[in-house]
Amino acid sequence: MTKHHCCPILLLLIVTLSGEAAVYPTAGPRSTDNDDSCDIALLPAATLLLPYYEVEFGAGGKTTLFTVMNVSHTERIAHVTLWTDHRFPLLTFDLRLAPYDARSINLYDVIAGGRIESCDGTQTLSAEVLARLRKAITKGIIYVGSESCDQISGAGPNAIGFATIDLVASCTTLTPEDPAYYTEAIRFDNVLAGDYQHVDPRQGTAEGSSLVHIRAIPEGSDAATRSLDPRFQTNFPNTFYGRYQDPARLKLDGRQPLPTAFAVPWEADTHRGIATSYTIWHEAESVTSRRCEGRWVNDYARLFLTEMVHFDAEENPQRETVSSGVYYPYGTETKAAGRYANDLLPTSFDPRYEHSGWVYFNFREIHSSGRKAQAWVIATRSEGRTASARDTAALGNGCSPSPTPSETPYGGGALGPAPNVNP
Amino acid sequence: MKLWLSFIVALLIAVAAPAFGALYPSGGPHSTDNDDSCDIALLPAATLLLPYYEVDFGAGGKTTLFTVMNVSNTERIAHVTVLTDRSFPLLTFDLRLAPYDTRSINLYDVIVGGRIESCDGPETLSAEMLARVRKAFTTGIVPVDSRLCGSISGAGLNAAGFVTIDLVASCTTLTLHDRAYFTDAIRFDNVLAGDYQHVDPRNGPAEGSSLVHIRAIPEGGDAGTRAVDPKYQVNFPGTFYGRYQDPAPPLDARQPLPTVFVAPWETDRRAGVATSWIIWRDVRSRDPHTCGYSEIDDGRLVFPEIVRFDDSENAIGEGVDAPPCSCLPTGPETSAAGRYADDHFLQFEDVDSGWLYFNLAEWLPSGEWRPSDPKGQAWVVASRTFGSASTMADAVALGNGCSRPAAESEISEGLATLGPAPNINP
Repeated sequence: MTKHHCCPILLLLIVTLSGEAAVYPTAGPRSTDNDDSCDIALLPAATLLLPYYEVEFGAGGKTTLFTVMNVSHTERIAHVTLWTDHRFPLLTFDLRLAPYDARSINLYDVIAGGRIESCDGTQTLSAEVLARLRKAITKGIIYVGSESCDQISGAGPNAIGFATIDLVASCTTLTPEDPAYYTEAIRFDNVLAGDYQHVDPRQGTAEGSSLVHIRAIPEGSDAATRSLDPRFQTNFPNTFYGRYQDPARLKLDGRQPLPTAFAVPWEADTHRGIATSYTIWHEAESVTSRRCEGRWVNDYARLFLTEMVHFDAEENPQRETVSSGVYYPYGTETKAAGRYANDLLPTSFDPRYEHSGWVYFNFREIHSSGRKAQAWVIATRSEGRTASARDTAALGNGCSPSPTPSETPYGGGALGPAPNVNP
Repeated sequence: MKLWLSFIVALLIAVAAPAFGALYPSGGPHSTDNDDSCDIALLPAATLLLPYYEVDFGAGGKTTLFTVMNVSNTERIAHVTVLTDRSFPLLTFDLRLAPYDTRSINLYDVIVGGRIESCDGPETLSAEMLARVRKAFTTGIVPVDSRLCGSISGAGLNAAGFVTIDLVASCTTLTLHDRAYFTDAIRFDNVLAGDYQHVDPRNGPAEGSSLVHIRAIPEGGDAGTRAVDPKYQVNFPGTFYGRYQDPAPPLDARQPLPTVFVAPWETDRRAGVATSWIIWRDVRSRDPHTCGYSEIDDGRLVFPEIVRFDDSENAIGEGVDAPPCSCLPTGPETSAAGRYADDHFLQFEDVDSGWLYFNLAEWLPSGEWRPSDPKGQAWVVASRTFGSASTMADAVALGNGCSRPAAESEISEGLATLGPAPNINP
């Protein structure tokens, strides 16, 4: 009797756990496979995020370059979306990548010169479209159909925003804001890789890093097959593009979500010309957004930072938190937050006396849909005319629950790495 | 009986699930938990690797700085080992990190100035010790137990090598070559984070990246507890410090690093654009050094396969035949292969961009690989210069450290298709 019941149960466990992959029921890691975790790692991906770009319209000024590689032996299409710093999808174009192809894009050529790649080769935008783009960037105004949308960008002299690069099935004019993008366009093979550089020829500076590699998990197939086959069920609590999908079908993109909390070393010494700045990509709260001719626009496009704790070298913390319903307007949704740490840090810290430490950023923000915020932080250390940038350590993966505000006189949890067990 | 059995199974699942986190039987990922994968990610870790440093002995020259943070609310000890470019552990010291502490180390201060941290505060090395360190770097010779050991470094003008930073229980003089380091010293909490900069004040450019964050998985416990508690069983096929414990089973539980990498390259001499590479490597099948330290013959490692793609997808590759071809590029365990890619690797003529594929797995004469075989580990960082400016980015791995080694690709006259590693690992 016992045998009759034990064997099917054991068999079921063995088949379930080892049928697809090396999965271990106990100890760790439970899976040693590739493309089988919520961790953002430098591995080929289905979406690449350029968290920040800045392009000067004048020749020989600041620009951002990025390179995309297809590391597979099959032709692939990468769909590039350039977003403003208020998350308006300004321009899309496709890169037809031959097997093992690499393509470098100078965003000055695209935004100021109007030279874009397409599936039919290089194209040049008309003068009219270019003027429209420039107005959208410098004035924050764009005409969509007969309607004028304002505040679609920070309206500064330079073009600022971020870019997403998605693997798609074929060339498309859809954007990540279109529901059909997730049912028809995007694909789920982790075969793209790349990096970027911010270059300022006038100042003679350059800084760069890898693009953020966001994998589709499970990998493979197309949206139609995935929605029917339980092998392709996505176990993430939310996904990178969840914001743009039907709340009832939030995970069609299958992309890893980004983390929420980061730890960033800083250094500042005005006498020696040392400073730290931060490049922050952050998905702002959807409830503050409005729609303009079918496109989401953030009304305030502010960086909602729930908590920032600034430790000096003696481990003294200075903290700022957000009380319920009140947000500190630290900047636009994506912004290089200035070349000096004290642009962002509490004014009680004086870089003349406090020279180093680390900063804790908590971008916790529960969206009305129940999704949590996502962010990416890059620290740039500059000394005189030289600068170096690097991604910063997250304190949990994108599946970790949003950290509650840290220890205060009123309660809160201990600041530190997220618990290992995620819901 | 049926009811009892069902009840026991249900109870087991209910108890096991919360203890180990959510394990999904189908779909992906199988686990969404933290510290539950073989992927190297920028998350707090138990070991940090600085894959390359270079320090000029003259004042105001090249140096490397690194920063270590303790992101937990408990005091921690970080044990720093400064190794030469041939993996000889030349110097160790400890950082006592208060809760939420951060410490920045300039390796010029350590290697040239002899100023090190310790659990009792800053200390200064004796002149004799400093002379030993300098001699080790510049001549490759160091006295060990009344003998002179040679070839322990590349013996260049500058100090070059790599650094490991491990979480340990208490201040220690043990090194990676002591078995007791893994049974008594190291700890398994992922609470360290950090970054580094290469600075060259004379020539201007600075470049930097994050330290390589290597997590202990499963996290927690100490070596004693872990040895008897099955929940701490390590499911990796190998570990980061496995070679120091061979043939004993590895106790460090650190994630192994990958072996296959890709990164874009760009070169234009007229425009002052160039790419160079920092490559850290670990090969396990080494002959024991006469002085008791492991090293490979003459300290040079063969790159099993390099493939260069240009921007029109033309490819040239070179793989290892048996025996290794002497024409293949080699390098010490950690090597800045020069400021131009063509200093070291296959070249196209009149082509200025593309990408490079590095297969840095350990070469096996048999050509066959079993999970029990050594595989090697590596890390690649690409540095790109634009005139007087420079940027640095870690290369993308084509699999994690648990992936089987890639076979020679068809581009280099092998049989394998070059691309990302299969998802399922042995």
